Amino acid sequence: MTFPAQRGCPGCTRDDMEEALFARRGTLWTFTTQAFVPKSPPYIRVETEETFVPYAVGYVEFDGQARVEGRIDVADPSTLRIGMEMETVVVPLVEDIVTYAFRPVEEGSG
Amino acid sequence: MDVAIVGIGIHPFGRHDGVTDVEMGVYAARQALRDAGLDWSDMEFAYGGSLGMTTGGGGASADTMVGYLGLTGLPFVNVSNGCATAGSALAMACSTIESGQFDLGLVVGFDKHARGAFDPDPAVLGLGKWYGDVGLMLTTQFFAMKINRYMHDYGISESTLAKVAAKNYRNGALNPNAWRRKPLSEEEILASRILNYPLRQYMFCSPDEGGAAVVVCRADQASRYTDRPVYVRGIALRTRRFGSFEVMAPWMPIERTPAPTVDASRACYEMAGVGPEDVQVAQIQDSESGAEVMHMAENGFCADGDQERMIQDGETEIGGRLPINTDGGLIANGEPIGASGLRQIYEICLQLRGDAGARQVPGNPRVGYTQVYGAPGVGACTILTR
Repeated sequence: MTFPAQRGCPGCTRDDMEEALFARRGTLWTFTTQAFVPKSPPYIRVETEETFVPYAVGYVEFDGQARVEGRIDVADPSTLRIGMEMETVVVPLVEDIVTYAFRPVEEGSG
Repeated sequence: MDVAIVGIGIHPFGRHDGVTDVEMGVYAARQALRDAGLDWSDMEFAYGGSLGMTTGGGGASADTMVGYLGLTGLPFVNVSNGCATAGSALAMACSTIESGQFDLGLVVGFDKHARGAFDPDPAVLGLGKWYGDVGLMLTTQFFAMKINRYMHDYGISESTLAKVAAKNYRNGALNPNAWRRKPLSEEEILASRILNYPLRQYMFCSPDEGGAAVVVCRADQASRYTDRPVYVRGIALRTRRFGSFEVMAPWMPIERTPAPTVDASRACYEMAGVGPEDVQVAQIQDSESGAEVMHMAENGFCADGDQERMIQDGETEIGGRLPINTDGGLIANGEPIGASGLRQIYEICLQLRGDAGARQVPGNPRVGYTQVYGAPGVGACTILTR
């Protein structure tokens, strides 16, 4: 699987890929934090040192599908661990615009 | 490969307000020509690398240099190929000579990047605008995520990351052309703030400004221009294959394949007929200290995980078994992309000639190695001998 969807397959070079859904849950393959203010553009939020809230990003591995990169919705990035279970959620990005993101699965909520 | 480098030049890397990108390239070109005892009018062809012209950074195309060097009518080709721009320019110059089309030419690269992290337009890398919108369009995140996983898999310590940076600042302090010339201790590096976990501020290189150039010719004609030629024995460029973990990738398949550096490196060794065990001094891409660690293995200098012991034991120091980034690398020199790969080659030429002064690798090294890696997943290597 690719992300986003595309017709051409970068693995086998054919061009008849079909759309499919990723699993809702996967495991955290790697991650990092974004602790300095990204330039805007390309970042959609215009931030200053005073307003900027650091965020986390990572790749989540969906079993048998692919690893997908995205923002991680977590209050304290220091709690992140490679291999932890994650689920895909939709979170606000700026007014009227949302994005997909990954959130650690709370123990016992599975 | 029957190509020799007979002249080298460099414009100091760093911040140079009031000096244009092209002026830095011209400076480096004239120095390389002087080093070879040649004039611009002797050049039969030229390849010029700069990334600024293609990324909206406002840079000039390299061929505008002819307006300053002289309008001799020579074929001058602009090269822009991501972080392998300089390596690509040299590779094409070598092919031009090998083909018999021309015997003598110039390869030059320069760039003048804005302050702060690179902020390319996602469209330049074939990505949707959304990728920039959500805050993923940062090369530094990739390097951090790659070394985070690598540390998890192979037991590399934070102390080792700090030791790499400390070494490169120390080497940079010995290099008059470097940008960062103040040594920083491991403790100071570990006390700097985390920019992208697990990487700290002083573990990163920064985009900056500079230029570098070499004069190349047919190997059998090298003695006309110098008594100390450096020969290009191997040169290879590779792009990413399906399954490699690359910078600014919204996804990757689960099955892993080797990085483009691994492919380029193997091709380069094969072309040169030498192995990694023969290399006596190397300049490799240290966009941050984790990159140097991982690229040591990708270039065949050790197995994954062995870097921990090698770096803790000082094997990559100037006096060590395999000195790496003797000029301070990207960490001390910064990264003007079009010039960065030629800066590495400039340093290897100095080392093989015995002209590296306070940072000279002892034992009269004969075999040197260079490697660049970067967006959008491209690696380029060279093997140089005297």
